[in-house]
Amino acid sequence: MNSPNQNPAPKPPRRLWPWVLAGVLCAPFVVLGTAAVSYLTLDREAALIRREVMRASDTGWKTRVQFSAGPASFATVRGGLSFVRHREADEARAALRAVRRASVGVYEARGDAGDWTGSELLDRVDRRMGDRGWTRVVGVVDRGSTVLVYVPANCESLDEVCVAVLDGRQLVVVSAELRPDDVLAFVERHAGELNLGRRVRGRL
Amino acid sequence: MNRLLHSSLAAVAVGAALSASAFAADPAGYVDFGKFSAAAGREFVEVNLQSGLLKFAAKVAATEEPEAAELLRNISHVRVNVIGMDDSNRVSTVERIEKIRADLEKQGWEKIVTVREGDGKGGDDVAVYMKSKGEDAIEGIVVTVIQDRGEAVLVNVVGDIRAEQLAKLGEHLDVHPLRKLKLKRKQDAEEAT
Repeated sequence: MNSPNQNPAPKPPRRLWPWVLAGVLCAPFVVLGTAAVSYLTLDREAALIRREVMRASDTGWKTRVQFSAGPASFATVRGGLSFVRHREADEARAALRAVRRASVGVYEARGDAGDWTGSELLDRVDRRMGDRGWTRVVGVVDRGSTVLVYVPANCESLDEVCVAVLDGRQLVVVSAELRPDDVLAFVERHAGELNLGRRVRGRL
Repeated sequence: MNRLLHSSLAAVAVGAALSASAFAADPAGYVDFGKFSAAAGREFVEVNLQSGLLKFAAKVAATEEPEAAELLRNISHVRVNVIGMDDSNRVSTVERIEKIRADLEKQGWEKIVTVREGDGKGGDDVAVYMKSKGEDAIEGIVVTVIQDRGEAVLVNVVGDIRAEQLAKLGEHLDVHPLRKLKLKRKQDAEEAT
Protein backbone atom coordinates (compact mmCIF):
# COMPACT_ATOMS: atom_id res chain seq x y z
CA MET A 1 0.00 0.00 0.00
CA ASN A 2 1.31 3.47 -0.84
CA SER A 3 1.95 5.85 1.98
CA PRO A 4 -0.19 9.02 1.89
CA ASN A 5 2.93 11.25 2.05
CA GLN A 6 4.39 9.95 -1.16
CA ASN A 7 4.91 12.77 -3.76
CA PRO A 8 3.12 12.34 -7.11
CA ALA A 9 5.31 11.60 -10.09
CA PRO A 10 6.62 14.88 -11.65
CA LYS A 11 4.78 15.85 -14.84
CA PRO A 12 6.90 15.71 -17.92
CA PRO A 13 7.72 19.26 -19.13
CA ARG A 14 5.16 20.53 -21.65
CA ARG A 15 6.73 20.54 -25.05
CA LEU A 16 5.87 23.66 -27.00
CA TRP A 17 8.00 23.12 -30.03
CA PRO A 18 5.59 20.71 -31.80
CA TRP A 19 2.88 23.33 -31.57
CA VAL A 20 5.19 26.09 -32.79
CA LEU A 21 6.32 23.89 -35.65
CA ALA A 22 2.72 23.02 -36.54
CA GLY A 23 1.83 26.71 -36.43
CA VAL A 24 4.74 27.66 -38.65
CA LEU A 25 3.85 24.90 -41.13
CA CYS A 26 0.15 25.78 -41.16
CA ALA A 27 0.54 29.58 -41.26
CA PRO A 28 1.27 29.82 -45.00
CA PHE A 29 -1.79 27.67 -45.76
CA VAL A 30 -4.01 29.77 -43.47
CA VAL A 31 -2.68 32.99 -45.06
CA LEU A 32 -3.08 31.58 -48.55
CA GLY A 33 -6.58 30.29 -47.75
CA THR A 34 -7.64 33.64 -46.31
CA ALA A 35 -6.14 35.46 -49.29
CA ALA A 36 -7.87 33.09 -51.71
CA VAL A 37 -11.21 33.61 -49.97
CA SER A 38 -10.78 37.39 -49.96
CA TYR A 39 -9.72 37.33 -53.63
CA LEU A 40 -12.63 35.16 -54.67
CA THR A 41 -15.43 36.86 -52.73
CA LEU A 42 -17.03 40.26 -53.11
CA ASP A 43 -16.76 43.01 -50.56
CA ARG A 44 -19.79 43.97 -48.42
CA GLU A 45 -21.37 46.58 -50.72
CA ALA A 46 -20.91 44.61 -53.93
CA ALA A 47 -22.25 41.48 -52.22
CA LEU A 48 -25.28 43.40 -50.95
CA ILE A 49 -26.17 44.91 -54.31
CA ARG A 50 -25.68 41.52 -55.98
CA ARG A 51 -27.92 39.81 -53.42
CA GLU A 52 -30.72 42.38 -53.76
CA VAL A 53 -30.68 42.34 -57.58
CA MET A 54 -30.68 38.55 -57.59
CA ARG A 55 -33.57 38.38 -55.10
CA ALA A 56 -35.60 40.88 -57.12
CA SER A 57 -35.02 38.92 -60.33
CA ASP A 58 -36.48 35.71 -58.87
CA THR A 59 -34.28 33.26 -60.78
CA GLY A 60 -31.11 31.24 -60.25
CA TRP A 61 -27.71 32.72 -61.16
CA LYS A 62 -24.37 31.21 -61.91
CA THR A 63 -21.09 32.94 -61.26
CA ARG A 64 -18.89 33.66 -64.27
CA VAL A 65 -16.19 35.77 -62.62
CA GLN A 66 -15.83 37.02 -59.08
CA PHE A 67 -12.80 38.57 -57.46
CA SER A 68 -11.63 41.32 -55.13
CA ALA A 69 -8.27 43.05 -55.13
CA GLY A 70 -6.96 45.30 -52.37
CA PRO A 71 -4.21 47.91 -52.13
CA ALA A 72 -1.47 45.27 -51.85
CA SER A 73 -2.61 43.54 -55.05
CA PHE A 74 -2.81 46.81 -56.97
CA ALA A 75 0.61 47.85 -55.65
CA THR A 76 2.05 44.49 -56.75
CA VAL A 77 0.61 44.79 -60.25
CA ARG A 78 1.85 48.39 -60.50
CA GLY A 79 5.27 47.21 -59.30
CA GLY A 80 5.27 44.47 -61.91
CA LEU A 81 4.33 46.94 -64.62
CA SER A 82 7.21 49.21 -63.65
CA PHE A 83 9.55 46.66 -65.26
CA VAL A 84 7.70 46.93 -68.54
CA ARG A 85 9.01 49.73 -70.72
CA HIS A 86 6.04 50.66 -72.84
CA ARG A 87 3.79 53.67 -73.12
CA GLU A 88 0.69 51.51 -72.58
CA ALA A 89 2.21 50.12 -69.37
CA ASP A 90 2.64 53.69 -68.10
CA GLU A 91 -1.00 54.37 -68.85
CA ALA A 92 -2.08 51.15 -67.12
CA ARG A 93 0.02 52.08 -64.07
CA ALA A 94 -1.59 55.53 -63.94
CA ALA A 95 -5.05 53.95 -64.16
CA LEU A 96 -4.23 51.41 -61.46
CA ARG A 97 -2.90 54.17 -59.20
CA ALA A 98 -6.40 55.68 -59.23
CA VAL A 99 -7.93 52.52 -57.72
CA ARG A 100 -7.31 51.62 -54.09
CA ARG A 101 -9.37 48.44 -54.09
CA ALA A 102 -11.96 46.86 -56.35
CA SER A 103 -14.45 44.04 -56.23
CA VAL A 104 -15.94 42.67 -59.45
CA GLY A 105 -18.57 40.02 -60.11
CA VAL A 106 -20.07 38.80 -63.38
CA TYR A 107 -23.10 36.49 -63.26
CA GLU A 108 -25.50 34.89 -65.69
CA ALA A 109 -29.15 34.08 -65.05
CA ARG A 110 -29.93 30.37 -65.34
CA GLY A 111 -33.42 30.99 -66.62
CA ASP A 112 -35.62 33.90 -67.51
CA ALA A 113 -34.83 36.86 -65.23
CA GLY A 114 -38.37 36.69 -63.85
CA ASP A 115 -41.22 39.12 -63.56
CA TRP A 116 -39.89 42.25 -61.87
CA THR A 117 -40.35 45.94 -62.47
CA GLY A 118 -37.61 48.52 -62.54
CA SER A 119 -39.13 50.58 -59.72
CA GLU A 120 -39.39 47.51 -57.53
CA LEU A 121 -35.71 46.77 -58.07
CA LEU A 122 -34.67 50.39 -57.50
CA ASP A 123 -36.76 50.64 -54.30
CA ARG A 124 -35.42 47.40 -52.96
CA VAL A 125 -31.75 48.10 -53.61
CA ASP A 126 -32.11 51.77 -52.56
CA ARG A 127 -33.55 50.76 -49.18
CA ARG A 128 -30.78 48.31 -48.38
CA MET A 129 -27.96 50.50 -49.67
CA GLY A 130 -29.50 53.48 -47.82
CA ASP A 131 -29.30 51.51 -44.57
CA ARG A 132 -25.57 51.22 -45.18
CA GLY A 133 -25.17 54.96 -45.88
CA TRP A 134 -25.14 54.83 -49.68
CA THR A 135 -27.22 56.95 -52.02
CA ARG A 136 -28.10 56.32 -55.64
CA VAL A 137 -26.85 58.95 -58.08
CA VAL A 138 -27.90 57.24 -61.29
CA GLY A 139 -30.68 54.77 -62.01
CA VAL A 140 -31.58 53.76 -65.54
CA VAL A 141 -34.14 51.10 -66.47
CA ASP A 142 -34.74 50.55 -70.15
CA ARG A 143 -35.95 47.44 -71.99
CA GLY A 144 -34.23 44.73 -69.98
CA SER A 145 -31.19 46.85 -69.11
CA THR A 146 -30.74 48.36 -65.68
CA VAL A 147 -27.88 50.52 -64.44
CA LEU A 148 -27.52 51.51 -60.80
CA VAL A 149 -24.71 53.75 -59.50
CA TYR A 150 -24.31 54.40 -55.77
CA VAL A 151 -21.92 56.62 -53.83
CA PRO A 152 -21.65 57.22 -50.07
CA ALA A 153 -24.30 59.72 -48.93
CA ASN A 154 -22.98 63.29 -48.64
CA CYS A 155 -19.71 62.32 -50.29
CA GLU A 156 -17.49 65.26 -51.13
CA SER A 157 -15.57 63.53 -53.87
CA LEU A 158 -15.45 60.35 -55.89
CA ASP A 159 -13.88 58.18 -53.17
CA GLU A 160 -16.09 55.16 -53.43
CA VAL A 161 -18.52 53.92 -56.03
CA CYS A 162 -20.72 50.88 -56.37
CA VAL A 163 -22.23 49.95 -59.75
CA ALA A 164 -24.62 47.23 -60.91
CA VAL A 165 -25.46 46.63 -64.57
CA LEU A 166 -28.15 44.13 -65.46
CA ASP A 167 -28.33 43.56 -69.19
CA GLY A 168 -30.63 40.79 -70.30
CA ARG A 169 -29.37 37.72 -68.46
CA GLN A 170 -25.99 39.17 -67.51
CA LEU A 171 -25.37 40.92 -64.21
CA VAL A 172 -22.15 42.84 -63.53
CA VAL A 173 -21.43 44.24 -60.08
CA VAL A 174 -18.46 46.49 -59.32
CA SER A 175 -17.49 48.16 -56.09
CA ALA A 176 -14.34 50.28 -55.98
CA GLU A 177 -12.52 52.61 -53.65
CA LEU A 178 -10.75 55.29 -55.65
CA ARG A 179 -8.08 57.92 -55.16
CA PRO A 180 -9.88 61.05 -56.43
CA ASP A 181 -6.67 63.01 -57.08
CA ASP A 182 -5.25 60.20 -59.18
CA VAL A 183 -8.58 59.77 -60.99
CA LEU A 184 -8.45 63.48 -61.77
CA ALA A 185 -4.82 63.29 -62.90
CA PHE A 186 -5.66 60.36 -65.19
CA VAL A 187 -8.70 62.15 -66.58
CA GLU A 188 -6.69 65.33 -67.17
CA ARG A 189 -4.10 63.36 -69.11
CA HIS A 190 -6.78 62.03 -71.40
CA ALA A 191 -9.26 64.90 -71.35
CA GLY A 192 -8.31 66.10 -74.83
CA GLU A 193 -8.35 62.78 -76.63
CA LEU A 194 -11.54 61.57 -74.92
CA ASN A 195 -13.32 64.91 -75.34
CA LEU A 196 -14.36 64.38 -71.75
CA GLY A 197 -15.76 67.80 -70.94
CA ARG A 198 -18.43 67.28 -73.54
CA ARG A 199 -19.16 63.78 -72.25
CA VAL A 200 -19.50 64.99 -68.65
CA ARG A 201 -21.95 67.61 -69.86
CA GLY A 202 -23.83 65.02 -71.86
CA ARG A 203 -24.29 62.86 -68.77
CA LEU A 204 -25.90 65.73 -66.92
CA MET B 1 -43.59 61.82 -13.12
CA ASN B 2 -40.13 63.34 -13.38
CA ARG B 3 -39.04 60.53 -15.64
CA LEU B 4 -42.07 61.04 -17.87
CA LEU B 5 -41.31 64.77 -18.08
CA HIS B 6 -37.66 64.09 -18.97
CA SER B 7 -38.68 61.55 -21.62
CA SER B 8 -41.17 63.97 -23.15
CA LEU B 9 -38.62 66.78 -23.17
CA ALA B 10 -36.03 64.48 -24.74
CA ALA B 11 -38.53 63.37 -27.40
CA VAL B 12 -39.42 66.98 -28.18
CA ALA B 13 -35.74 67.94 -28.36
CA VAL B 14 -34.91 65.03 -30.68
CA GLY B 15 -37.93 65.80 -32.86
CA ALA B 16 -36.99 69.48 -33.07
CA ALA B 17 -33.38 68.60 -33.92
CA LEU B 18 -34.48 66.18 -36.61
CA SER B 19 -36.92 68.59 -38.19
CA ALA B 20 -34.33 71.39 -38.02
CA SER B 21 -31.72 69.22 -39.71
CA ALA B 22 -34.24 68.12 -42.34
CA PHE B 23 -35.11 71.75 -42.94
CA ALA B 24 -31.47 72.75 -43.13
CA ALA B 25 -30.72 69.89 -45.53
CA ASP B 26 -33.04 71.27 -48.22
CA PRO B 27 -31.84 74.51 -49.80
CA ALA B 28 -34.40 77.03 -51.04
CA GLY B 29 -34.22 75.99 -54.68
CA TYR B 30 -34.62 72.28 -53.96
CA VAL B 31 -37.88 70.57 -54.91
CA ASP B 32 -38.73 67.07 -53.76
CA PHE B 33 -40.36 65.39 -56.77
CA GLY B 34 -41.03 62.24 -54.76
CA LYS B 35 -40.88 58.74 -56.19
CA PHE B 36 -42.14 57.87 -59.63
CA SER B 37 -43.05 54.39 -60.80
CA ALA B 38 -41.57 52.95 -63.97
CA ALA B 39 -43.79 51.38 -66.58
CA ALA B 40 -42.71 47.88 -67.62
CA GLY B 41 -40.60 47.99 -70.78
CA ARG B 42 -40.40 51.80 -70.80
CA GLU B 43 -37.40 54.00 -70.15
CA PHE B 44 -36.91 55.22 -66.59
CA VAL B 45 -33.95 57.42 -65.68
CA GLU B 46 -33.14 59.03 -62.38
CA VAL B 47 -30.02 61.14 -61.83
CA ASN B 48 -29.39 62.72 -58.45
CA LEU B 49 -26.09 64.57 -58.14
CA GLN B 50 -25.03 66.35 -54.96
CA SER B 51 -22.49 69.14 -54.58
CA GLY B 52 -19.51 66.86 -53.87
CA LEU B 53 -19.85 65.05 -57.19
CA LEU B 54 -20.67 68.27 -59.05
CA LYS B 55 -17.48 69.86 -57.71
CA PHE B 56 -15.59 66.80 -58.88
CA ALA B 57 -17.25 67.10 -62.30
CA ALA B 58 -16.23 70.79 -62.32
CA LYS B 59 -12.62 69.76 -61.74
CA VAL B 60 -12.86 67.21 -64.55
CA ALA B 61 -14.33 69.78 -66.93
CA ALA B 62 -11.92 72.55 -65.86
CA THR B 63 -9.13 71.75 -68.33
CA GLU B 64 -11.26 71.46 -71.42
CA GLU B 65 -14.36 73.50 -70.66
CA PRO B 66 -13.55 76.21 -68.10
CA GLU B 67 -16.88 77.93 -68.66
CA ALA B 68 -18.83 74.77 -67.88
CA ALA B 69 -16.59 74.15 -64.87
CA GLU B 70 -17.37 77.63 -63.51
CA LEU B 71 -21.05 76.92 -63.89
CA LEU B 72 -20.82 73.52 -62.22
CA ARG B 73 -18.98 75.01 -59.24
CA ASN B 74 -22.04 77.17 -58.51
CA ILE B 75 -24.48 74.27 -58.63
CA SER B 76 -25.19 72.29 -55.48
CA HIS B 77 -27.73 69.75 -56.67
CA VAL B 78 -29.02 68.37 -59.97
CA ARG B 79 -31.91 65.97 -60.19
CA VAL B 80 -33.23 64.59 -63.47
CA ASN B 81 -36.15 62.19 -63.90
CA VAL B 82 -37.19 60.71 -67.23
CA ILE B 83 -40.31 58.58 -66.90
CA GLY B 84 -41.53 56.49 -69.82
CA MET B 85 -45.31 56.37 -69.68
CA ASP B 86 -47.89 53.82 -70.72
CA ASP B 87 -51.45 53.16 -69.61
CA SER B 88 -50.25 51.82 -66.25
CA ASN B 89 -48.63 55.06 -65.06
CA ARG B 90 -49.67 57.86 -67.45
CA VAL B 91 -52.49 59.27 -65.35
CA SER B 92 -50.61 59.16 -62.04
CA THR B 93 -47.45 60.69 -63.57
CA VAL B 94 -49.29 63.54 -65.31
CA GLU B 95 -51.31 64.22 -62.14
CA ARG B 96 -48.12 64.32 -60.09
CA ILE B 97 -46.47 66.76 -62.48
CA GLU B 98 -49.54 68.99 -62.50
CA LYS B 99 -49.46 68.97 -58.69
CA ILE B 100 -45.76 69.87 -58.64
CA ARG B 101 -46.49 72.79 -60.99
CA ALA B 102 -49.39 74.00 -58.83
CA ASP B 103 -47.29 73.73 -55.65
CA LEU B 104 -44.43 75.68 -57.23
CA GLU B 105 -46.78 78.48 -58.22
CA LYS B 106 -48.28 78.53 -54.73
CA GLN B 107 -44.78 78.73 -53.25
CA GLY B 108 -43.97 81.80 -55.32
CA TRP B 109 -41.83 80.27 -58.05
CA GLU B 110 -41.87 82.32 -61.22
CA LYS B 111 -43.03 80.58 -64.40
CA ILE B 112 -40.59 81.70 -67.09
CA VAL B 113 -41.42 79.36 -69.98
CA THR B 114 -44.73 77.83 -71.03
CA VAL B 115 -45.04 75.81 -74.21
CA ARG B 116 -48.19 73.93 -75.13
CA GLU B 117 -47.86 72.43 -78.57
CA GLY B 118 -50.88 71.25 -80.52
CA ASP B 119 -53.23 73.56 -78.63
CA GLY B 120 -53.49 71.16 -75.70
CA LYS B 121 -54.49 68.27 -77.95
CA GLY B 122 -51.67 65.77 -77.96
CA GLY B 123 -48.66 68.12 -78.21
CA ASP B 124 -45.76 68.56 -75.79
CA ASP B 125 -46.45 70.48 -72.61
CA VAL B 126 -43.45 72.36 -71.14
CA ALA B 127 -43.27 74.60 -68.09
CA VAL B 128 -40.11 76.07 -66.57
CA TYR B 129 -40.06 77.66 -63.12
CA MET B 130 -37.41 79.76 -61.43
CA LYS B 131 -36.82 80.79 -57.81
CA SER B 132 -34.95 84.07 -57.62
CA LYS B 133 -32.75 85.47 -54.89
CA GLY B 134 -32.51 89.20 -55.27
CA GLU B 135 -32.41 90.67 -58.76
CA ASP B 136 -29.57 88.76 -60.38
CA ALA B 137 -29.27 85.43 -58.61
CA ILE B 138 -31.32 82.28 -59.09
CA GLU B 139 -31.58 79.68 -56.33
CA GLY B 140 -33.40 77.02 -58.23
CA ILE B 141 -34.84 76.03 -61.60
CA VAL B 142 -37.45 73.38 -62.30
CA VAL B 143 -38.16 72.13 -65.81
CA THR B 144 -41.26 69.99 -66.30
CA VAL B 145 -42.05 68.36 -69.64
CA ILE B 146 -44.93 66.05 -70.57
CA GLN B 147 -44.16 64.73 -74.02
CA ASP B 148 -46.79 63.53 -76.38
CA ARG B 149 -44.75 60.48 -77.34
CA GLY B 150 -45.19 59.06 -73.84
CA GLU B 151 -42.37 60.46 -71.76
CA ALA B 152 -42.26 62.90 -68.87
CA VAL B 153 -39.12 64.81 -67.85
CA LEU B 154 -38.43 66.66 -64.61
CA VAL B 155 -35.25 68.61 -63.91
CA ASN B 156 -34.34 70.49 -60.74
CA VAL B 157 -31.11 72.50 -60.63
CA VAL B 158 -30.19 74.08 -57.29
CA GLY B 159 -27.37 76.52 -56.72
CA ASP B 160 -26.28 80.09 -56.90
CA ILE B 161 -26.79 80.78 -60.58
CA ARG B 162 -26.52 84.23 -62.09
CA ALA B 163 -29.34 85.25 -64.41
CA GLU B 164 -27.01 85.61 -67.39
CA GLN B 165 -25.82 82.04 -66.83
CA LEU B 166 -29.32 80.64 -67.30
CA ALA B 167 -29.03 80.15 -71.05
CA LYS B 168 -25.51 78.72 -70.69
CA LEU B 169 -26.93 76.30 -68.17
CA GLY B 170 -29.49 75.21 -70.76
CA GLU B 171 -26.71 74.66 -73.27
CA HIS B 172 -24.33 72.86 -70.92
CA LEU B 173 -26.93 70.64 -69.27
CA ASP B 174 -28.73 70.17 -72.58
CA VAL B 175 -32.04 71.44 -71.22
CA HIS B 176 -33.86 72.51 -74.38
CA PRO B 177 -36.44 74.91 -72.88
CA LEU B 178 -33.63 76.97 -71.33
CA ARG B 179 -31.80 76.99 -74.66
CA LYS B 180 -34.95 78.32 -76.28
CA LEU B 181 -35.01 80.99 -73.61
CA LYS B 182 -31.59 82.10 -74.85
CA LEU B 183 -32.77 82.19 -78.43
CA LYS B 184 -35.81 84.21 -77.42
CA ARG B 185 -33.60 86.66 -75.54
CA LYS B 186 -31.27 86.95 -78.52
CA GLN B 187 -34.22 87.59 -80.81
CA ASP B 188 -35.57 90.23 -78.40
CA ALA B 189 -32.16 91.92 -78.33
CA GLU B 190 -31.95 91.83 -82.13
CA GLU B 191 -35.44 93.27 -82.45
CA ALA B 192 -34.59 96.00 -79.96
CA THR B 193 -31.58 97.05 -82.06
